Amino acid sequence: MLIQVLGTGCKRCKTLHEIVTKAVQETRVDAQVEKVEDIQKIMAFEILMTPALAINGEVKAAGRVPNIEEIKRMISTAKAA
Amino acid sequence: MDNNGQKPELLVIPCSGIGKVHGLISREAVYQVTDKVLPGQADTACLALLVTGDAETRQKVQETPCVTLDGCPKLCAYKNVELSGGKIAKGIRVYDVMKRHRGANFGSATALSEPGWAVVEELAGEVAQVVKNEATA
Amino acid sequence: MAEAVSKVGIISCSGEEIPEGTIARQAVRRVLEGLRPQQTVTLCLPLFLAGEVGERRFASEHPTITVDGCDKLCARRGTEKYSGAVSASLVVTDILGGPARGCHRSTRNADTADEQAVWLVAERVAAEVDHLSAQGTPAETKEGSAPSGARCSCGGPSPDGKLAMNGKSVTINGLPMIFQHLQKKGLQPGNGGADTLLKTVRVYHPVEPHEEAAYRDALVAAYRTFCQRGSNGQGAGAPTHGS
Repeated sequence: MLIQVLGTGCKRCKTLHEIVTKAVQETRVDAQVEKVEDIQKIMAFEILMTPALAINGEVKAAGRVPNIEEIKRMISTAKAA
Repeated sequence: MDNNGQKPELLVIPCSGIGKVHGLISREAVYQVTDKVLPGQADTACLALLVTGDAETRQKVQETPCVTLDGCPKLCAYKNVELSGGKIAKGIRVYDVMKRHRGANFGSATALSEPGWAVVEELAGEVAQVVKNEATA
Repeated sequence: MAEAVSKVGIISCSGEEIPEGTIARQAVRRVLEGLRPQQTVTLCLPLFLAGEVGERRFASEHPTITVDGCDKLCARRGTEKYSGAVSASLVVTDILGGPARGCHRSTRNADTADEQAVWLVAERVAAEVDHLSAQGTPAETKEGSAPSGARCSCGGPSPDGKLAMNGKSVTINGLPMIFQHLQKKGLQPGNGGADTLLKTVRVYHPVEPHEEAAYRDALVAAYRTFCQRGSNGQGAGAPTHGS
């Protein structure tokens, strides 16, 4: 599983990255967490605002920082798919 | 800003109002004039530089006939050029031109639609007429 | 408990002579319209001279961010001269690490370079809004009361991202921007677009499964209104300091 945190380095982007890292640890899912900070790569996802979270290339959240429970649900759903 | 070192015959200054589409239309009309309709003859100047009292910009508006384009009755461009001692050849009220197209969707303050661009071209034509009138006066 | 503070004010130079002025203006529009619509308010810089006393109170009534295209710092200097101290001063050339290469003055010529520059500057401005807001809770309009400072002399209230649902009002950050994006992609108003509306909005706003039907109906109605407003010539405005 590839989990990407999209953002140009603002405080909320860092917070999202921390929560995602924690969610991956607690769910023990086999996932690579990647920070995407390059503006061209971010815009290729066609999101309107950052920070954003994508799992296996699909944007799950953008413009907000979901709580850890919501992120865990997203991971579980993606794993089951 | 001079074009190829030549002094422009006209300075066209928009209000660039940030709140509504009228401000964007005023801004784009100026670029239509300086880049397409009267390249080399007309230039623009940052209204913000007049607000801060920039000496070079004040001198420009005092020495060159100006046309101002305002999006709303606050007349920011007209008043700021006037307060800077500028000579205003014509003050165009963008909203008067837009009234002729009542009901059209001009776009937003971020992006114009086709009718918005049509008004831009109409305004540019009005500015070009000022140059013609000055030349024949 | 954090004190309530007024909305964060943002003033752009909108300098006409260089592309960076256009980038400043477009970035501020993006923050006002989409990224932080509930927390921000703006004012046209030239109104400090062309306007009245009320306009000159702007920086004393709002923690103010100025966004300048270049190091002439007209927005900052103008605000300090006529209105009051600024809380933060941002410069496009600083944020981009130099002149805006490949960018344009006119939006008619805007391409990927312009879009990226606007995005980078807007994100930086939004982060500053968050920083200032964290120093106090931005005051939100009470339900049913008139929006504060949300009218400009061009008329009409600004879109506020509020969705009427089951007798209550739900705020969705960036809703007008989301609608604009979908409209640009060709989504037609009507029940046929309900799934697309819901799928897109829930990326930006959490929707519980039991709320889906209510959100779907509310979004269809709101999108229809949005499209009708556009075709009636009432373009999306930005929250501006009222007079």
